Amino acid sequence: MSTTSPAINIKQLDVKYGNKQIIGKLDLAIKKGKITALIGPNGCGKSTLLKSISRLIKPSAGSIFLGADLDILKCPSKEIAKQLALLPQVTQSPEGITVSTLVAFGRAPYLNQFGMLKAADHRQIALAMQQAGVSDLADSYIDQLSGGQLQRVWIALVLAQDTDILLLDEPTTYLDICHQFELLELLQQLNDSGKTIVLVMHDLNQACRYADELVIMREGKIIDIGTPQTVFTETMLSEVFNFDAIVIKDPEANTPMSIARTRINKRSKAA
Amino acid sequence: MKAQPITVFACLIFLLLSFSVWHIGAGAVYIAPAEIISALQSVNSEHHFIINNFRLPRLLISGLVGAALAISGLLIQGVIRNPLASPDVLGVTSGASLAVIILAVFWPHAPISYIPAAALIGGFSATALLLFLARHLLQRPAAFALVGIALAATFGAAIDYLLVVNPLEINTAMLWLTGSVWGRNWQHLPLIAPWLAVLLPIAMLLAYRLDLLALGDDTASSLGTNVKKLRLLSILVAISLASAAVSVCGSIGFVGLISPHLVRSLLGQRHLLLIPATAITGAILVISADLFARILMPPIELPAGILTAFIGAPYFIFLLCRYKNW
Repeated sequence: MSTTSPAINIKQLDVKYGNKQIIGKLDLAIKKGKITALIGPNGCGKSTLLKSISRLIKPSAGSIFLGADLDILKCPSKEIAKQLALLPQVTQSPEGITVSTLVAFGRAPYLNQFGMLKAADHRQIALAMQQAGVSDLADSYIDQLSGGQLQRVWIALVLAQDTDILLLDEPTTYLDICHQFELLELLQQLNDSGKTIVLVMHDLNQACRYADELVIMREGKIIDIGTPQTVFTETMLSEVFNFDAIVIKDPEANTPMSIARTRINKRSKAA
Repeated sequence: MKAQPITVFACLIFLLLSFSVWHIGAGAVYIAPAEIISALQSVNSEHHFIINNFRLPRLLISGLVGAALAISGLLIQGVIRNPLASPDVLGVTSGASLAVIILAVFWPHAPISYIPAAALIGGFSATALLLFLARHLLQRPAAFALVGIALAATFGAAIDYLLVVNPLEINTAMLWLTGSVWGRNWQHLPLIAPWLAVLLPIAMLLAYRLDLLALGDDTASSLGTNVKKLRLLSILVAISLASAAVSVCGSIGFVGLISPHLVRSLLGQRHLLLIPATAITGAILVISADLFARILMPPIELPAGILTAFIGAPYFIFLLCRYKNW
């Protein structure tokens, strides 16, 4: 396989809710070993796109391939689950189970009907907890964790799935600012160790800082795709987000960042 | 935080055996535990006839009905993620009862083997109606349960109407409806035993995937589970078990609601352990309810369903008050 072969290849994707077209004729190749952020205004179809890739929504037309030719709509779910893991935006943690029990569920695609764990599974679970930095919490109960800890435990669960690709739907939404950056740093480490990461993000400046590629969407179509340096411009912000802003260089990371322009009427109020 | 599974199972089995011995021994003719064993071994024993013809089948049927209702409740609660759900709260058992009453009214001489079929049709129709009416309320457990309760009341009214306008043997029908194992004999065992023999192993096969479902639909399916198929199969198993139980002894309420809660509080969330433990707990509940129904005010025999309702209804109210996620 050549190095340019994409991790995920989407061809002519159509997704509808009832009669409403959410995504139309979308083509997208997601690069292997990169962090790709899907951004766009509310209702642009970015979450729907992520859900289609993770097989939660069945597209009305088109196809999605993993690697060169593995069609996710035709392959058994368990096989796909060994290559592609999803962290949904809202997670449900059962009461009264420990962190290691929860993380162990990530091994599900590799287990038999009864979910019996083998030695190799235990190793993978321990490794996943270590990577996510939750080894110390292994025997704690889920109910006792803070929001930031819980989100890292869920990252450990998808890591236990041992997939090349991680999909995350707004993973920082319910976290406070310090845990947001902690999580993004963790994702960057995982990416450094070889994982392809695709995530939906709301915070544009965080997307610019941590993503290698931005996929900019509006009304179910891809408007632009490329590195933050090339696609994150003032024109794009005003056209896609209807957001009047200037783009400057992030003094810490040298990536682009946006700063909202002050509206004139607001300024006169302040005066 | 949770008890060791082995301890829980040992206690449950001990309770089951104790209540079984007491259940067989108690009655107009008291039989001591030692005599029970000898009576079971020897045909010539003085109590062999009573035990073999009356008390043993009644014990077995109570136990099996309890187990079936309890597993049904566990599966329904797990699959629709609603702690307030159980076959009786949702109107499944009343739907099954109504169908059996309709059969009895319009076809009084139907063979006994038609009863389970009628109960199944009734149970499934009630479920289909509930799922249709409350299709937008699946995320709101209490509202969903309310629609079920309203359906159950409607079916109950229809049953009352049929009984009042049709001069059939109301006494027998009333006994059956309030959930009584009175007068149940070996003839009734095939109505319930084969169902459990087939459906219990199927439930065990679904156990691990039900654990995954507790992580939410999105996570379960991204872990490779076919959520729709799992949900459908589990509901089929649950409704069949509840309907089979109804076909033997009417609706014995609240066993399907309480047993899973009790066992979850002891064992946690793993269905592979929950299913057998819930089955045993359901059996203990119905056996003890039938026992106390007989010995509380002899010679009157209360239906076991009245006793389970006495315990179950307050517990349901407690759950409703405690439950926050409307």
